[in-house]
Amino acid sequence: MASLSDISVTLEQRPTEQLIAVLNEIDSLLKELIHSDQQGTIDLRSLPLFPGDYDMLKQLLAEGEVSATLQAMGPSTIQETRVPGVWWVTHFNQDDEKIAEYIEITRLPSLLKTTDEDLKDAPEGLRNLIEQVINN
Amino acid sequence: MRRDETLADYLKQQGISRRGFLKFCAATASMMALPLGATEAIAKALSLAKRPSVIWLSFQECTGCTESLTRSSRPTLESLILDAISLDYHHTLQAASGSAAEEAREYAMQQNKGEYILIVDGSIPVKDDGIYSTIAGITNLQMLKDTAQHAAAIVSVGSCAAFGGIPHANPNPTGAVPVMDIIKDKPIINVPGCPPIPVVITGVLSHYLTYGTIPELDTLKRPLAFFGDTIHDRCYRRPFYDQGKFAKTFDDEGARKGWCLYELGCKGPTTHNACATAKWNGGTSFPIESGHPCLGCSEPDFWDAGGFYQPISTADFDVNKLATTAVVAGAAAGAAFGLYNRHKKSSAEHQHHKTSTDELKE
Repeated sequence: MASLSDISVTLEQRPTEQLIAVLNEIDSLLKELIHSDQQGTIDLRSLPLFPGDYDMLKQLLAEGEVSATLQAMGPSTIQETRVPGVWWVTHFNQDDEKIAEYIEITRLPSLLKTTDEDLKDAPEGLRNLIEQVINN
Repeated sequence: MRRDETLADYLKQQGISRRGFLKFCAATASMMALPLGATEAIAKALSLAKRPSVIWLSFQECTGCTESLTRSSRPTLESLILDAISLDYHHTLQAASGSAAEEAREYAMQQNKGEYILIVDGSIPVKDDGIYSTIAGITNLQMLKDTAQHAAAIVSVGSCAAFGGIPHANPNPTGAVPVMDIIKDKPIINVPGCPPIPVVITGVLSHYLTYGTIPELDTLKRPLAFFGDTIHDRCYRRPFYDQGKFAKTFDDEGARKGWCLYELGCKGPTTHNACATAKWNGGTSFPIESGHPCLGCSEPDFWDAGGFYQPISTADFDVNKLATTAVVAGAAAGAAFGLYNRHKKSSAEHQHHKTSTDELKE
């Protein structure tokens, strides 16, 4: 019996209207960022993409200069694409299951900045480290 | 998590940084179909949100709805939301049984009078005074009335609780009815589906947890954020419908090319649900993506709505006419998809803020 991968599936019409629409939306959000300093996001899980569109979009935007990994409640990858100002942000849970995925059009995704709350607790954490060094 | 703790306190105790919390809020925004810009507002609200008490009653049902919610591997977003609520009674999941279980329900009702959320799955038989389904000697009908009396709001999970579902199907031997046919004086949110998408169930709970209100509903009491569009509106195969390209059998050239399944009985055009974007099995796919027509399981009386493989009556849907119109508009279709998404997000944000529980009380 043939396995699932043996069944030939031909994808119609490349590139799809959906893919072109997402690219046009990124274009218009980039212009908003340039002219009005307005940040934009596209929730990739809210789009009715054709199978194959996702891979094609990722391949097309590709990886740019900056790549960061956040380790908080599972990993997140924050990757600037080869289009400056267009970031591909993917959040995973502790089981490496994808829980959210965005294209962010911004100078810097906000999750990369240290938050005020964490900054407030930072001196105490540092003091503890200093005490450890002194006591050892 | 203690009842007087907030979710933010709980996560901080687990060693999760503010950045981790914001990541959780970003994922919650996506889950609730809100824009990423809502993350800060969600974080602020969740920082103050207390743990609500939840009583879950299962009546004439197959446990598929509970399976849908709990079968995702831990720890997921869904399980975090479950951690954030106090599930005080659920006779499938709780350890207690018999009179101890019923006492737990009565205790939760007394302690949280007027504040608890009642979740119901399964329909309620009313024929012959409801004798066809009982728990601990109490009819489902009586238990629903007793428990609903002091609930803040009711969430009817699954098509059985929302619309009667399969027990309600012709000839309906037990006189099964949905919750909203019995309870008339409480805010009710219907989350239909057979079963409903887990993320939609938790999206509704997240909304309540975050804002303390219930989301804006359609005329069938379904949250517009998830049931505002038809499967057809959000289907990736929609362009083929617009072009008049249809699979005629399950193994023809059109089926292999992924064309529209309308003529194979797809109920997408008349079915409101979020399957096309929220998807199933951790976002893997949804029925149409697997080559099968939508059965319309989140609509009332889907079981009696004709054959699953019979096309929807063309009285309302003239395929050729619609297809011709769409081809004329085809040049703008690409841009429309993108604009549609942005419009959807901004209207979803509006919907999530609109209606309070108090406003729905008559």
